[in-house]
Amino acid sequence: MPVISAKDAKKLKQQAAKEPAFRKGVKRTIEKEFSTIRDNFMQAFDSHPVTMEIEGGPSASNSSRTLGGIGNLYTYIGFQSGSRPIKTLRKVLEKYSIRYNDLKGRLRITIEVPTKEDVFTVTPMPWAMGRSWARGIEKGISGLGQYLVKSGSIPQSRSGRAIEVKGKIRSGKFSNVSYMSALLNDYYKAIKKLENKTF
Amino acid sequence: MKPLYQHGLLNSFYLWFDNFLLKKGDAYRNYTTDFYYYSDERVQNKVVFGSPYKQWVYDKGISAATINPTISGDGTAITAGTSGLSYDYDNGRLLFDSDFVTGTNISGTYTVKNFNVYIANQTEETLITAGKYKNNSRYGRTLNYVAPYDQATPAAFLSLGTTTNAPFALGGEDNTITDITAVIFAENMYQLDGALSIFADAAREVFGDIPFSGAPLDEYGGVKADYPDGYNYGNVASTNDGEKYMINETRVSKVSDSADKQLPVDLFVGFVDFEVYKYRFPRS
Repeated sequence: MPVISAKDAKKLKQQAAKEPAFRKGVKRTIEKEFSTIRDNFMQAFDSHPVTMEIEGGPSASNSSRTLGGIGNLYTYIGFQSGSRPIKTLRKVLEKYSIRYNDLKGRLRITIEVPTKEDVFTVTPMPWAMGRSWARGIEKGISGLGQYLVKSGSIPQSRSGRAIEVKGKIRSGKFSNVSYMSALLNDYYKAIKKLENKTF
Repeated sequence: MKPLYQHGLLNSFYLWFDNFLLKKGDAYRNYTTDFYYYSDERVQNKVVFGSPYKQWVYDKGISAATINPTISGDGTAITAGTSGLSYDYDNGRLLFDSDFVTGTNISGTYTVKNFNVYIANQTEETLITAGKYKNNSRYGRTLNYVAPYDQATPAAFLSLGTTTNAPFALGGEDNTITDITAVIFAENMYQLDGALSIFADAAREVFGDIPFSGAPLDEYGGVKADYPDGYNYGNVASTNDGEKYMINETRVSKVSDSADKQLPVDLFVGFVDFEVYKYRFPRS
């Protein structure tokens, strides 16, 4: 039975890594696996109660329970009527790039996706641009006691259905929930696993 | 209840914040004004003369500030202790013994903070929409004393947000992460931008854990007898530098123009969000 020495096996591996067919195969595998990871991530994002509630616009119910069932996040945060904050965020989340580098006879794979900072930058509060509503979902957003939900549309309101008022109308508390940080952590973990695969 | 972690943090942070703003921004101004007699039922057996400005600077580390106000009565200098004279730095006023003549013409020179600093027990929206603040006297207004105890603007209101313990090291050491927000009320955009700029640069700053007993002022608003040579934040911080807090991150933002139209207060509003780290053993 022919025996290949460890030295020869290493050489063979190095040569194989340079073969166009091998590289093509690796790329196909990586892209397929990454596509699954990304689809899972986007699905988790789309089906998150916070995403669904904000996507539901000014008339959505508080399905995320962040406001104790009173009003909804779209009007609470104060988005301009007609704006699509989730669409903007989604566009950023969909971005990625995959790089392949030779590293001592192995293919090194680097996958770049948006950082948490990128996400917080593209999700400004409509009334304070330096603050992120996506971060606020996790850390807390003030304002519940200061807005009033009306059954009809109110022209002077930024979101169309709720207005901020001078006095205290109804006391309440915003309940923080995990959102983008948790989703992104899972995403990064899965990507790291893929990057660490040996080819 | 004994003072716990969050009590110590808020006290230490308040003292650091106040000093940082004064020192980095020279955020104070010297005034020479008349003082106005008024009665205050909360202060028994004292005669009160109020200045038009409250929250005077009492930190000796601020070298250009007049920490010991220069006071004169009917043209004659009055030093601290004479006729029981003491300074209420918090309310910007002078306290005399009860037999002091209330008709005396009092004037003096003192230093006022550009921003009063308060610990808030209200939510941001309540702070912003209530519109209940006294202005420290400003241009085009007949000078009179500023009412005591009420909060006066320009000001910064500090409040604690969420706190989480993240595992840090073997043996039960955690990183306690606390969010602290400062809501800043300024009287013009220059002032607001200045304050925000100072605190945007405060990331990675550290500050000492100063216990409650290290608080500088007594119940009359004067510097405590514990500080016979005067209060100096730098000295107090260096004697309490065993335990440190670190400001990991600061984020500053302003209430945008469109929202400004809805503000019931004629002020410029901004936020500074701090993330403070402290490595500790919470379960020991």
